[in-house]
Amino acid sequence: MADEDLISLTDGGDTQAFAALYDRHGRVAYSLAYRMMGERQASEDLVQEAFLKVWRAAGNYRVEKASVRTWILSIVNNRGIDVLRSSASRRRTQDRVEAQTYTSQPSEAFGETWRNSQGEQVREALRGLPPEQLKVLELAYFSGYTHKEIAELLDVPLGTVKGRMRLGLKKIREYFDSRGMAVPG
Amino acid sequence: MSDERHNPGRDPGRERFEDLKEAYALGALSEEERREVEEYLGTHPELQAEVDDLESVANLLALAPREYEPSPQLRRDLMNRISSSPDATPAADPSSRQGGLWRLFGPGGLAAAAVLALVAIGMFTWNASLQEENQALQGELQGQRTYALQGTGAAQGVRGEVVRLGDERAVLVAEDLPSPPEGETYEAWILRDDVPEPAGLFEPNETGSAAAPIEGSIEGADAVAVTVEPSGGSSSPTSDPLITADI
Repeated sequence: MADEDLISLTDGGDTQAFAALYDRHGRVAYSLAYRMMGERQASEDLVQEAFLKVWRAAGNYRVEKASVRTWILSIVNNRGIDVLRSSASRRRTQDRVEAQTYTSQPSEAFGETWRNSQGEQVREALRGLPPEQLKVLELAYFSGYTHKEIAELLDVPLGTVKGRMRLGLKKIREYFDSRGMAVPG
Repeated sequence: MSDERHNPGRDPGRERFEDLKEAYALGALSEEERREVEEYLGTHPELQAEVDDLESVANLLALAPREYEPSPQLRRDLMNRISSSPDATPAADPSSRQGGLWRLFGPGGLAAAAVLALVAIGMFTWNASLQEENQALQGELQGQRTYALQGTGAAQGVRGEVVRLGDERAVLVAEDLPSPPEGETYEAWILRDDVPEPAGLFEPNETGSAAAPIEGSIEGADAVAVTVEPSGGSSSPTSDPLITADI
């Protein structure tokens, strides 16, 4: 059964369809949550909160906007950013330290060398980015910093941060385009 | 990323949009800035597609982190929460609308399907009484872990799992798997440090379902992959993987 059908059933209150969605996407959602929160309990709380939103708001899903997986991950990411921004967490402080060393160390987040999966394609695309562009994308997407906060954190002009975001996204897009692959929805 | 057809200098609102759109896609704007972009988009719906495209690229970042397995307790807690949720509505009967293994075993039951497949196809023998066999099955289920399949190309729509049984054995269970071309078969591989080891041949049944034991230990493996190979199989892959499961 397609994800879209499971969402539709979930919207009708079908707990088994919801469980099937969790079984398909819970792992990648948890992995994203773990990357953002940095520890198990907070990550599980975030995933639980996100999937409760999926349960309550399945009717808001729009197939023309994104795949179900992307929709679920967006919920995890948006909520994770809210949590990170609402707390002066240790994780963000840690990022502040890590941010100072980005020019000399590759990102550990993308250090795995798995092959032939969508995740690997993305990791490969990210490995091709200059470290300073990757760092800006990471700080924004995973750590919830605004572009102005990133500029302060890295001690660079705001225009530089915007430029790195622009070029970073453009290069990821080009990675997929150059291989004739559609950007996964 | 400027629009070459547009001269932002003529439209401060557009100039501002061009300046903020990437940060918007990454969720890196303040609330005020985000509202500013969305208000502009509201009056310029022709720009929505461009933003959607940027967001689709930004959202790829969600797939990049190293994968971790959530605890089984998280699933139990979640299901308990929604079962007791006041928002819950009477559940439809999915069994009448679901097919294949899901209809037979229900969501989360692929592990059971895998165990039963092992028994049914006689790849492993339990030389014991019925009671002992049941105990063994229960033990297998308790020790199982699952790894989701990801399909590409002709197998884009495949779904299923590699189910790990105990320390070493594993079964690949798949649905919606197209038949391999005439004269070819599916071959599973265990990947360690990017080196593929043959792990058995299989073909889906007429409904596109397959339950194939993984031949060899997946202990310490990075992934299980599936390629299309000439009938009889190959000693090393001759085509790109159609299906993978990160271990």
